Amino acid sequence: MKTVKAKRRFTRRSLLKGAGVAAAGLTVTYVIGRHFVPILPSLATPDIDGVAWISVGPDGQISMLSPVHEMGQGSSLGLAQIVAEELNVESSEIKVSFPSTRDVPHMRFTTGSQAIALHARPVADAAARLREELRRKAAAVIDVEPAALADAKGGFFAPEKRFLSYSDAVAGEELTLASESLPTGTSYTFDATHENRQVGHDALQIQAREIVMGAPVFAGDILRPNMVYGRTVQAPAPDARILAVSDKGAGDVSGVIQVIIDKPRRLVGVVAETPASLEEALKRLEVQWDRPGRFSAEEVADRVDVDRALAKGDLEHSLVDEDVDLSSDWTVDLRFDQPILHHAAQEPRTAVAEFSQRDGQEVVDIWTGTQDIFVNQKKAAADLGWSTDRVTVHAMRVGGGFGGRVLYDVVREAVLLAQEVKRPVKVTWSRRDEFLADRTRPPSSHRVQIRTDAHGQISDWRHACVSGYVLLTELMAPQPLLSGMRMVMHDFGAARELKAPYSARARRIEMSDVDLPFHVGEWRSLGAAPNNFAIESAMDELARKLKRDPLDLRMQNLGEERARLRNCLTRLKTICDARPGAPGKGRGRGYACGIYQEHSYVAAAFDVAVDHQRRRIRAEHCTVVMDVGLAVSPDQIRAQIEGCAMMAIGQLWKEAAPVGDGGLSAHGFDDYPIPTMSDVPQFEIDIVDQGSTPPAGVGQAPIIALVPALANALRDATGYRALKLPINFDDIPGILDS
Amino acid sequence: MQLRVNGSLHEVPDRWKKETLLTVLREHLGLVGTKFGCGDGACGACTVHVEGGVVRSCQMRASGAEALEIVTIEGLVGTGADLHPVQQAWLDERVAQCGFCQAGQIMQAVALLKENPAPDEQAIVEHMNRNLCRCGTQARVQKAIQRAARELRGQS
Repeated sequence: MKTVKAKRRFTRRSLLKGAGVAAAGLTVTYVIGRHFVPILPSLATPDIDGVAWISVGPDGQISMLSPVHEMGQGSSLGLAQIVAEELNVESSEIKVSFPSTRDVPHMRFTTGSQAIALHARPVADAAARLREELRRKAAAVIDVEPAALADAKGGFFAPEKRFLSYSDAVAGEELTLASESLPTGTSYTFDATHENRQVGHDALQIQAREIVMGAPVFAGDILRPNMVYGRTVQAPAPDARILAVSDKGAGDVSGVIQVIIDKPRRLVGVVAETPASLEEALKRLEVQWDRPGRFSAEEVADRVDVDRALAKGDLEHSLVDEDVDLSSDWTVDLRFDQPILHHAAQEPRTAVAEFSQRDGQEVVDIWTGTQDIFVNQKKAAADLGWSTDRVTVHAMRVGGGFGGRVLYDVVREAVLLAQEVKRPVKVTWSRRDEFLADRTRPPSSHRVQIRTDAHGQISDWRHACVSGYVLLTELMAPQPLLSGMRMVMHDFGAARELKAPYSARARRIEMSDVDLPFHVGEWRSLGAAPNNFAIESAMDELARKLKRDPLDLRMQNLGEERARLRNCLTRLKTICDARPGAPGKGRGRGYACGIYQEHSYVAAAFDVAVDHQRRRIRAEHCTVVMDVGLAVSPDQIRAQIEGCAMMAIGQLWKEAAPVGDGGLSAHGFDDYPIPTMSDVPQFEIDIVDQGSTPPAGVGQAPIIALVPALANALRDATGYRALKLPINFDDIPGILDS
Repeated sequence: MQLRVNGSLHEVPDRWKKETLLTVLREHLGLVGTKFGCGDGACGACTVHVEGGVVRSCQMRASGAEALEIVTIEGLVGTGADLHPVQQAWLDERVAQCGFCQAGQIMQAVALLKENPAPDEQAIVEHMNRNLCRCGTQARVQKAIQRAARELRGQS
């Protein structure tokens, strides 16, 4: 056997090791919400972490501004539970609001999975200090030492069981504390000896009542006096340029206020008195586009073809380059292909913009559901040529994020159209626009090669991946800076979890990130789900080849430092062993696991059954063990796992963005089917109780294990290895048997 | 044109006549609980009751609903009452994630329980399968419907 040793390479990437991490790093500062103070007295100072976000009113009402946007991930509830824990109240008693750009100073708003990890500790510490200040105030009322007051629900017990409420403590005064006068307080949330009453318990989601009653919480629910309706024509591709526009009588439609044609700004739109007039006028407008970058599905597949790229030599970026034996006798050697995915959130992007006069100057108010209000504020200000203080963005609930709502497009349309017609304008995208202008998850292809010794110990590991960009897009930086960044670093979004958690004697992990002719961006877990799908599918195939138990083989190859993942796998094995899968042909069980961002650990199993009559596979049972450290909101963790499981089912059976007529071609949900109630499995979810470990995010982690677990179950049931997603049922041997 | 919505008669000006029932409800009457999700009747976010049956309000002309009894999520319970048992079950099962599809889901579920007070799993799936939820709340929707069915049967 000829042994080929990998050449050690020095790449630009290795010289700039860590640059990606720095670029992705976050700085979060908490300072006082000045505009919040007059509404309710704030017990806060600019210097104190977190305190400014929480206040106690003269009536004892506790209010907080959520430093995270809510899109269903439940992190605003988690933070409210922490505040409730520290202040000895029920989380439902806390009034949670979502701030506008005027309510709080500029800060980086987080996406779902970072929310709890970044904010839990400062919020807990701040609320604990607030509690101790309340104790001091209450003690002063009855002239005792603060230490003489015991915690009570909504206040304190003084000696002889006298109850002092928070309202008694603040005594109707507006309290503004200097930072140095704030007492220190030990947060209960992170005190292992404290019996938590809020944290770790199930609670009702923020805005849940409004949702079931149909009360206004989304951007589209905003109604302004004199408001009208607008929309623009979406470009069919990012590089499309307007050649010609014909009105075709759009302006004559009754109720149309203005047809706006601004070719330099690529803005062709209509504003009308009612939505139906708007639709009719938009149908009449005819735009001719220059589309140099027309593409086919085959051309896209070619661009991300990992074998084609490897045939030309090393991939562009080397993430790990150890002394791998590249000879051809791999124990497993598999190629995986994953498609373009849409977010397909239920809420179409919507924004309302209203210009008015404030303090002698023209200002604009914008209502929209976004994951980042300040980015939208800055971009709107830039479009208007204004300073940012003249632009206010009001954060509305996001009707499904999944990474797709760090966007400005719809806000831009509302702002520019409202400026033209001098009236408040509501822009709601059509479902077609949602698909067309979606920042999709780019397609990727992977080659995974693993060699083991006779005992199943991995000796050589190679993973080569070609993916479209995820983070190094025009949302990250303008050109030419973006091109420069792409030169010196790999796309750290696409590369997320490309390094498997398993030990190996030598590893070679490399990737190429490529430009694609359609919009790409963040999608739940970024590259982690596609990368881990390839890794965990290959591990499953390895176990089959070696005739080993798939869980044991994984645990054998996890290093000592992977104790939390090993624990998840051990618990998964115990649960699954106690509930043997139903025997029989066409039934199977598959396993997978993963570590997300070194903070969330997940092991998952799916049981599937072939439904011959309906020519489909049914996911019958889904078992998940998850360790996210301190489980602040266990029920919200379960909800995220359930949601990720449904998306995994979508990825295996259904989802791929169609390409046709030279571009993305989905018009509606019929073109992009998503999972429905008939796909729901039984859930068995085990949340590892790690009260002493700081909490981590849960919105994205489960999906990285759930997609491969389902593929591995399919393999177990049918012998069919899902190499290309979504699967084609006709390819599965035996599915047509009755 | 007049529309009878949630028990009250509403005057609809002529310029709203060619609108869908959905946009009149939301934009003219301010009943924003009913949502626009797709505009082609595929997602169910716009589900309301017309004459007691479920209707995708994005697919119905407002003029076609004249003289008919329309009920939206805001009118599920009469004034003074707190929550409909289905709404309460939705809270008890903590169904919502982003929440955007939930009003449509609830309206669809209420109609099911009127027809079939004790639906089994298959009946629930068949009735609810075209109400989409991207967050993946379907398992909890099922549980909430079963809970509400028990509650409603207990009441009658």
